[in-house]
Amino acid sequence: MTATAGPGHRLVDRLSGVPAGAYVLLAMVVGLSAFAPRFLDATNLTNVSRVAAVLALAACGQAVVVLVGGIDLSVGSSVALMSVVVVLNIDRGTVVAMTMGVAATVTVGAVNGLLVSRFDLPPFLVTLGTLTGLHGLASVLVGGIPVEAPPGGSFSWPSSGSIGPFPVPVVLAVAGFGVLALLLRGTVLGRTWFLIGANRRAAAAAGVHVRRSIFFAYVVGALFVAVAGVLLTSRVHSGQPNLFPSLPFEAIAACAIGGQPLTGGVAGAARVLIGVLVVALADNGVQLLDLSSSVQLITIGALTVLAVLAQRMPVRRRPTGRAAPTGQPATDGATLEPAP
Amino acid sequence: MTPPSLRALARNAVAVICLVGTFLYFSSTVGDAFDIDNLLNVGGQAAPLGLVALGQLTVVLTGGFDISVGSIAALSAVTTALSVGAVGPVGVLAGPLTGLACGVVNGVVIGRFGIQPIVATLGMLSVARGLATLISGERAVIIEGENPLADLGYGSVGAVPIGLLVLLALTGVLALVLRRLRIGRRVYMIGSNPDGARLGGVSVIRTTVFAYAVSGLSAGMAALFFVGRAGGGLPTEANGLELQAIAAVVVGGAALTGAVGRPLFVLIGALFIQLLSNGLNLTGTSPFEQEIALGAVLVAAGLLDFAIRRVATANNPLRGTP
Repeated sequence: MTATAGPGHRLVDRLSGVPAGAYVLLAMVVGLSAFAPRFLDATNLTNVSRVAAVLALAACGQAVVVLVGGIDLSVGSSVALMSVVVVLNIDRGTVVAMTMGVAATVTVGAVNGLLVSRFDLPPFLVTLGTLTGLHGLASVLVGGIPVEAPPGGSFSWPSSGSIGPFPVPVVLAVAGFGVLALLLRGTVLGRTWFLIGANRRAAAAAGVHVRRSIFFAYVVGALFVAVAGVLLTSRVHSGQPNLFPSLPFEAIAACAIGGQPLTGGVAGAARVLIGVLVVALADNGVQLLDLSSSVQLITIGALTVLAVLAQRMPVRRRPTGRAAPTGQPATDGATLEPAP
Repeated sequence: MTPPSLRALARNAVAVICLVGTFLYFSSTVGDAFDIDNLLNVGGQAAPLGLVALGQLTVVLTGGFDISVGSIAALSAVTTALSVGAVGPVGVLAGPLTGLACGVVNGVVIGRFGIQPIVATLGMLSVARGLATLISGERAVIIEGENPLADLGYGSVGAVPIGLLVLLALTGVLALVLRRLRIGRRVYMIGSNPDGARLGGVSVIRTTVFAYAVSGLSAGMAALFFVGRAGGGLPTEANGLELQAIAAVVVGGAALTGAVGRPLFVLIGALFIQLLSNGLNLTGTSPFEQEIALGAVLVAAGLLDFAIRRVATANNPLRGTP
């Protein structure tokens, strides 16, 4: 099915150049500055950036997977598994334990990637399966209860240390965005992901190793998540089977708010940054305004759908009966519509 | 035997083989406790999962997913308990109505505005859970006095739990709707070929809204069973129910690409999931190990789906993706 460029498409292109999330972000900054006096405090802003760093790294990973038309719901469990693996192996030294944790997370990514690319399974089914299975595995390893890590300076450095004036998490997040931008713009693998996300069949016809590239998308995504996992494990200073269950949802929300369609083919470090900041500010605002965590859930959910809705508004006149199944590019029904 | 019917047979056989295999395995390892009473009991316990799985099937047939059903069930359970407390037994209607409303919202967002099912229902997952927590004040809403839904949770006709009877009846109803009614046929049509269906005069939007409404309604009805058992509405209820429901649908032989699947076999898939967790309980397996098992079942069911699709595409070189 081919999409024909009709009237309105140029407008859509120009509008989609600036993700709707950017306006949302602007509105939130203005609103929070006005209604939450403590928002602009240096302490609060440092706090926001430390918290946002974890989400930023997870969202970078998610962005890569979403770019090829996939989705990774398993990241909540894989960071939990990582924290458990790290704490159980802490006797071998912090660096060795952390490396083992990273290896565990990357293995999860490789398994997801293998199942999705080799066996053509729907990504959401596979990662829902690993989400559940790994939460079970992490719980079994520690008997269902969190395990404290022994006190030690090197363990908490990634989350609370600083490099010069900059907190380590922020440095890592900035590095993450840099790596993502480089990967997407400057590597063959990154360009290949765009091709696959835009049109998988065309990519295959052009000689791209579709399966291999999709596999690596999940592995690279897991690497980003692994860095987020190091930060989280260090922050909670323990191995927790229920570490951050909403991480995949917040990461997906960040991608969607940043203007990345979940059908794939579009990604960018700036988009991810916008989405991450919106989600982080929503969390921070709820706390500053002293609202309950349930309001936070409602806000994130509504923001996700509304941001995606806002991005689709210009194309509203096209008949969009059903979104394409995940893993395939969206088909444009416009060409099949009988002429009026 | 022609390939299509062989394929259908393979799809439908999976659920039956899983159910019978699980039964045989646990009756040999558990022994006496795994008797007919226990089986009927499992059937009754399967009611909420079975209902939600039937709703999920309707959505999967259109080529979509609904991952918000667990949250919708929790919200419906809370509204049911609150309205029973306020207006008495007639308040039980609040559950199904809440579910229906959430489902219609999902359907409109997906059908009318073309948002991907996973984004829309992810949003609803978050919003419904948040609303459930908000209106319940973050604690269980207990029904004071007599619980009008207690029979749904614990009642039985003779030896057969009411839950099982309701589940069987509603499976029949959905099978009839999908097979005999125009709207049911349209669900298969838009799942098979949305553009073709549109050209044939089918309103894809209306049919999509119908499918998600059925899914939401089924979650709202499942909530009545939760309230019946717990004697109140818990905002934390039904966490992960969507996962079990999707597993039941896939084991039940529905194709995640849409248009293939039958209520009877999804029912068997749901019974299998319930029997598996019952058997694991009886053998003293921890809930965490059960989670691992469920995750494995989900992926294994997907792999089976892949194998069956392979047989399908082997006969038709134009199908499938590279």
